[in-house]
Amino acid sequence: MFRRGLVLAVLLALTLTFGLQAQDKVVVTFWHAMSGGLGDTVDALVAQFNEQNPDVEVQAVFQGRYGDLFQKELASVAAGEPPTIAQMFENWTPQFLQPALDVSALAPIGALIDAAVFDDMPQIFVKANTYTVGGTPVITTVPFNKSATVLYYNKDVVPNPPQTWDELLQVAGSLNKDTDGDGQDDVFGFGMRPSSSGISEIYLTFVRMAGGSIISPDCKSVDLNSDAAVTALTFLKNLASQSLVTGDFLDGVFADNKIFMYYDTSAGIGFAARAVGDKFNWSTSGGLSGPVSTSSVIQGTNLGIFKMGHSQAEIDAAARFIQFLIDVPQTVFWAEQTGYLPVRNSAINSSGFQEFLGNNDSYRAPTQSLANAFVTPGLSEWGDVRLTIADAVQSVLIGDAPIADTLKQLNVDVDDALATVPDGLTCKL
Amino acid sequence: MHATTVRSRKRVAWKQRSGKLLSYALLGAGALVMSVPFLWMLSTSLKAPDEVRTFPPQWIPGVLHWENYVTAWNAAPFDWYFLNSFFIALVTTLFELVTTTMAAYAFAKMEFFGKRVLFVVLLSTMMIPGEVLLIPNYITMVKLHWIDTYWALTVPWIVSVFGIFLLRQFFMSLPDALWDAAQLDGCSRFRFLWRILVPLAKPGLVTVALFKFIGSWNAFLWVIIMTNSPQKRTIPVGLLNFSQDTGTFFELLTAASTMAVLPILILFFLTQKQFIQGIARSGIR
Repeated sequence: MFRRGLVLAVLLALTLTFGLQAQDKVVVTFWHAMSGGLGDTVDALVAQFNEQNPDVEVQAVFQGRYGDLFQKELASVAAGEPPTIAQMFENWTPQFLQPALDVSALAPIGALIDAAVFDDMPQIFVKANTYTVGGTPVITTVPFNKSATVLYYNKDVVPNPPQTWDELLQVAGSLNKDTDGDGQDDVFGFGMRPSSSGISEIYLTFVRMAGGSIISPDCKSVDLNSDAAVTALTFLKNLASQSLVTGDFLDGVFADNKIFMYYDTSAGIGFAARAVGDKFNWSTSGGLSGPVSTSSVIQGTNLGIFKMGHSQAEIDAAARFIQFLIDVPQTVFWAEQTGYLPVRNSAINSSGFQEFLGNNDSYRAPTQSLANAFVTPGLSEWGDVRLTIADAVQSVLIGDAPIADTLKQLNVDVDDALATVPDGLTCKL
Repeated sequence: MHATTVRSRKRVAWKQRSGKLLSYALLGAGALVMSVPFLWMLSTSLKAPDEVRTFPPQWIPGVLHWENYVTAWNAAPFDWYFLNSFFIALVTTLFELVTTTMAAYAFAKMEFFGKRVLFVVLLSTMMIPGEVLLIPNYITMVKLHWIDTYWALTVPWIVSVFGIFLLRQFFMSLPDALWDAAQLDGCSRFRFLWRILVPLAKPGLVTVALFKFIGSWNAFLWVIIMTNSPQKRTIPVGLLNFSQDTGTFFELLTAASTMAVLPILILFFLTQKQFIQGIARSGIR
């Protein structure tokens, strides 16, 4: 009787011990701003990773829009309890690398992930995720939901999308029509939404197409008063004067056949598809060339690992999850489900993704834009700078402000804003 | 003389009738204008995605897509969101009625040292935007281990300076003679407040309660910052599922919004008489 009881007690002790150990998963919290279907895709990837890695539990937490997510990231760092992984724009990351923090809040992802991954990544992504930490360039984050600016066009009306500025102006103007005879055009070849802050990135893209640089290599001054900058804004002004200028999302008026072309981020392809339905054939083009070159701006967030408040086991587990996310099958799945860009060259060139592009032509242009793409500077000041640029561009496109004076003042205002940029940084767009 | 009197009486009656007619016509037109956003919301909630942003707007969709409501409901755990919204709105409203009533009574009917200064300081807190205090408040909630709990969603919101101000105004409109008479009968302040003043202050209390309930029901930023799990989140957070930075699923958003706004509409219709009385007597226009 005693022996039986002893055996049972030992068995119970062993079960509890190993049972408890089996339940000791490393928990990784992942804060994101991916709502609706995007969030479902995140959840699917998380579930797949958790199934394949029973010693880790990734918990993906939707934290609202980008603004809400940023507020919460800042608050959590201030409280000393940030998540393990979070989405962050290029201009958010420096806030977590500030010298004011005793220790940088972010772990250097470049040291935690297989280096071969970065050789397989479009170099624009590697550049965008490299920050100067202690005077040394360090890969601090990895790309996540990236998109490029492309030209959306109605294929039934514009069979061959314009390739140059002159063609765009000429084709857009030729499609304007007064359908109700009131002397005002009701249908336009091109549509613009200057009231959106995204006009800042579109403007900078046109500056690059005109051969202009945006910021000095030391990140302390901008070049938005150059001949190229004036050329770009003059062209946009001419385009706006013969286009539909609206405050609404452009996919709506595009689907309504009020415009036949518009320039916007490829992240809106899914919305354009929903709005258009089967009404007409449409696609995107990334080949618009300015007087000097082709260009496109890459937007979207990256992923960073917070080391503040986390054990090495949690940091390593987070790195494993990020490695999983940017592995070829997962980045292809992410791209196919969401319309964002795959973050690896081998993924873009894979047979599976090429087959997807064959059936979804509108997603091809963003991948072709990578070669001539740029990202806006990864400076914490850039959040306010882009709003200043947007205000200036809007005042010209909507408010008829004089171009030369506006750009002159813009240069002064942005240089003032960049006065707080610390020494030792490098801005190579 | 008699004929003249009859004619002038008829003229007066006609003037009154036409005046009333004009008032009703103007008010009706105003009501229609005010209801346009609600009608658009309802109309859009029944449309297909490619019908949502046609211009001119199609008020009555060709096919009524009632399935938008089902899709919207299933897009996120709205059962939890509705439950949490009800619970938090109810709890904060009930507790605020208690705290606000006592504070408003003290400021309206009692004399104590520093009363005016204290009231001005209290009012001045209304000028601080909530966003400014978000990070310090978050740190406080972290230190209290209240993040992702109902404590964070209720306790900070059981007092409202606006409610104190509103009820104070209401209490000040009630005569002091009531207290004099009650005092003669040996009534304590506490008993006077709850047995005599509160029943007289029903319109004011309903107003405070309605403002609080609606405010709690619509609370978004605090909830998203202080919670992580869907089981603690509320309807406004759930509505974010239909919006992204590059576009919005309007037909689903309006379907979910219609479901979200219905309880508030019903509550307002049930309490509108007291609400209007409360606003009128508090002096707030």
